[in-house]
Amino acid sequence: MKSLFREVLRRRLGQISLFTLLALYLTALFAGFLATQPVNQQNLDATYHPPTRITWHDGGLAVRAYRLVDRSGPHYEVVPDQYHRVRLFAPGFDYKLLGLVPLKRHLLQAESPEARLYLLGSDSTGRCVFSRLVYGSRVSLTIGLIGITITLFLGLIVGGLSGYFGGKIDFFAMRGVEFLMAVPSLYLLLALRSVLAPRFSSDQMFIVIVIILSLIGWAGAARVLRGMSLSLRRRQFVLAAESMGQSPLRILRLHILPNLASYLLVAATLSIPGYILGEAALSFLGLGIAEPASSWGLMLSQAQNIKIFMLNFWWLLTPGAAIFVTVIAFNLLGDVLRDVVDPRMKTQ
Amino acid sequence: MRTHRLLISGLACFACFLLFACSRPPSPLAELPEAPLPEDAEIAPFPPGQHGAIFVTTMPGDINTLNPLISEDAASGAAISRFLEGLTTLDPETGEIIPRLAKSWEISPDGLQFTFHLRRGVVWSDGHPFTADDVVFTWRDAFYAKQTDPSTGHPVVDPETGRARLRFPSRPAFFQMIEGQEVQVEALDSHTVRFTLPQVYAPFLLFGGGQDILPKHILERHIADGTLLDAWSINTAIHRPRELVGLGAFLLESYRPGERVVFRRNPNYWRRDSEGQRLPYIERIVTRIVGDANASNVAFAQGLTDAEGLQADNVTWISRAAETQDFTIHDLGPSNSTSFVWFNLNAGISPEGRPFIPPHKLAWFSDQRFRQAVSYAVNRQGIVDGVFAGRASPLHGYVSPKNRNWHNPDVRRYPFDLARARALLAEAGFAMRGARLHDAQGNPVEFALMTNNNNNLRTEMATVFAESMAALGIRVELQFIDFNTIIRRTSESFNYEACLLGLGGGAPDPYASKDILMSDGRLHFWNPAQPRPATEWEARIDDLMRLIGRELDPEKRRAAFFEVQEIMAEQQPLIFLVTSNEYVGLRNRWQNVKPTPLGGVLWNLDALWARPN
Repeated sequence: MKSLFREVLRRRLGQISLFTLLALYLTALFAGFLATQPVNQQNLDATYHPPTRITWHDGGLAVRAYRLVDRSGPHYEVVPDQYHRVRLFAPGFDYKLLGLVPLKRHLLQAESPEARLYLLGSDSTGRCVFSRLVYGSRVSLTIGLIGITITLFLGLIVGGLSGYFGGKIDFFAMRGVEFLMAVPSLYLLLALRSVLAPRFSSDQMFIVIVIILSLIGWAGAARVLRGMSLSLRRRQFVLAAESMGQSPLRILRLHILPNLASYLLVAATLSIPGYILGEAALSFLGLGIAEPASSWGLMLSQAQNIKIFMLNFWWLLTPGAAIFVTVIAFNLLGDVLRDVVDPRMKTQ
Repeated sequence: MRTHRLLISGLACFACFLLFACSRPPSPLAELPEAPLPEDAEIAPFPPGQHGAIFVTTMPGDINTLNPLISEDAASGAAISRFLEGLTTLDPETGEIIPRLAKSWEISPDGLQFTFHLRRGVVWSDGHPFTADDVVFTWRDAFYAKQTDPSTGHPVVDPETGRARLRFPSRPAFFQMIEGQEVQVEALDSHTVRFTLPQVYAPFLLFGGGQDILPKHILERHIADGTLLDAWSINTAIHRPRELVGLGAFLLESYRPGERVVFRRNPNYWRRDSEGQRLPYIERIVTRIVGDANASNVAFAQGLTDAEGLQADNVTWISRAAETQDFTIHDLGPSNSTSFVWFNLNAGISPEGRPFIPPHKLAWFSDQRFRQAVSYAVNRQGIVDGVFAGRASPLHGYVSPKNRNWHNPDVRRYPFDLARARALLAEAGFAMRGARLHDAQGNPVEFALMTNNNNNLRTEMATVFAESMAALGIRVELQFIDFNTIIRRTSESFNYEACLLGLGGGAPDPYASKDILMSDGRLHFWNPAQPRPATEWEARIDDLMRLIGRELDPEKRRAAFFEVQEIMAEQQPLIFLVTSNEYVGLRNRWQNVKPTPLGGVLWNLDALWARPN
């Protein structure tokens, strides 16, 4: 495992993707510290505010002051020669670091209450897009991890056992898998979502969506794992273990699982983007995470209004960029991992 | 190879022929006979124009019917009003009731008899003369048609009311009943009709007189054999549009569901200009059906359509195209549309035996002080500035300020004041525990607010509302769901806690609001169709609304309606938010444009003209 990590880091693409993902997950972990404003703090006097420029002024960091020129736009202008001081590690709103430690310090805080610190502009009700993006990353990034855990766990149990035992167990398990694969997943998802919606609040909905997504998604993984364990089953070291009288569970754990590990690792990295995109698509359709919680898909769905394109409020599309970066990073990492664990299938 | 090419070109020719044949059905609209101008033709007060232009519009969503007997939605109503007309109408400039198909009328001193004198010489679009018989037919035979028992041939009697059941039990039909009783209609001669009311009904001239008249010579036999709904239906509009004969300025030429509706000018219309040219000037109205209001707005901004009602938050970017696409945006000021939040006050029990809302929550919602506190906590000016980009006005009462005749400007207002909101909540026994508000029994105050998901302005208002409630320590869960589900939950299952919706339109007479304001109304949002008023103030509103229906003196009616608005403001069953401003875009090539706040831009569509394109 350690050598695998070293191998990945030896490659340029591996470094890039790994560090990108590390940065993203650290962002999600320290969202409260990075956010400049509470996730739902509205400012109806500063809707669709453009990103504020941070400059070096008078021996310290500062933001330019902005003035609302035309409310109907809304259109803002930089006020010349007016700055508001911004401090690093300054006290701001209360939050809990890692959900445990109550803290007040934030990476960036404006000193005066008049200053508008919108690193990525504001949305239709004057909420800070950057802070929402940072908080939203929690949903969008963990959804993949939780989802893939459930998927691979189910896939491993069903696929591994049916491949190992074969016969009737294999037959029924695979027919069950085929049944699941034949279900039109999007419609099932839509139906389940509307049935469950009144029973869950917004944050519980998040978990429910993950579970629905992964309960539908495990069938494919089970098929592949069943094939792999079927072929491993005929290998000599398994037959040897069997003839020595080891119990099936022990064989599965000691001889088959380690041989599946490399596949599992690659499959996991490559299918996490599917969950992230799935959440984005569901929220985009208004079926996923709901207000006032925040997620990248939800933010994108709120940016689909025609005026956002016509008036060039580009900063509202940054969740799209975040999804793009995350998905690319996971895919690159998956490719690198596959090259490392299976040199015969080199992509270059 | 060559034979192949030949075959392909032959096929292409055949396909072209097929396409051509499909797109040109064997002319269903041979020229209609044109009758001479009626002697009572109305002269439109506009400078003469030129015939022949085509008017292109879009509409979000399809029509459901073209039959005024069963039409209940706005899109169908708009299409019907293109080709059917009533005896009277509302003057879009003064707000008075003015003649339409009736040139004059008399009202008996007791207010029970209305005698209308119809215009002479008016003909239906197919050339058949329009007479008093058509009016009598429309009322007595169409709207008041009774269900008959097929076995006995006698009318079916409703066991609950003891009256005969209507054959078309729709909202339009009930609307023409006065306290459940019919109006007697008789023709005194070929051009005089007398309506006798069972009791005094103040808005009869507007609502009764405005009723669209149906053609007796076309529909009589269908009433007799019971096929009326088939004879005047969407299928008729698709296959035999010419059978939809009307008295309006336009006639249906073709209709393709989900695609477009085309109207052509009625060659027999009864209005003319000062030079004796027959109106309307517009040759055809082509209305394309599009997905939603945004798509419709975009089509206008790209110069694809001639006129468009613009959503307030789209005005800024659309106005940038005004020069290149040569159009003008008319600002019509505050609109009649309102938006409001209400709490479910229905104390009933669901079929499964559970209360619609938990009793402790019902206790909060029923407390006037709680509703007032919520109203104080709403930042209306913030919604106007932020969500509507300044293109709206705060709304304090049931009537939008646009409706100047009936708007009571002195109702109790609820300016944004969190201190007063907290004081009211404290008085009602609520207390803060930590960051959350709790009631006297220790329940944390939280409720779910739903609104429809396809209106971005409403969802944004809902997020602002939720944030305002958070400032009071109340947690609001937002539910953005589709419109039909909302209607089902608010009017059938009552399975909701709070809802944010809006009303459009805005009727010219307060009595049109009886379905909303009276406690037995189907649209009495917070607690509909009550057998008897649940509260004293609802009973008082019921009394006042009945008075408004009976009273003929405009001053007394106004005083009564002002009191209704005061009670609504004091009790806050509907917590009003804002009213959006109204904007209409129109291409500059159109002449005789005279926008009025009441009628909008297209009220004189029959007098609009442009050089033929």
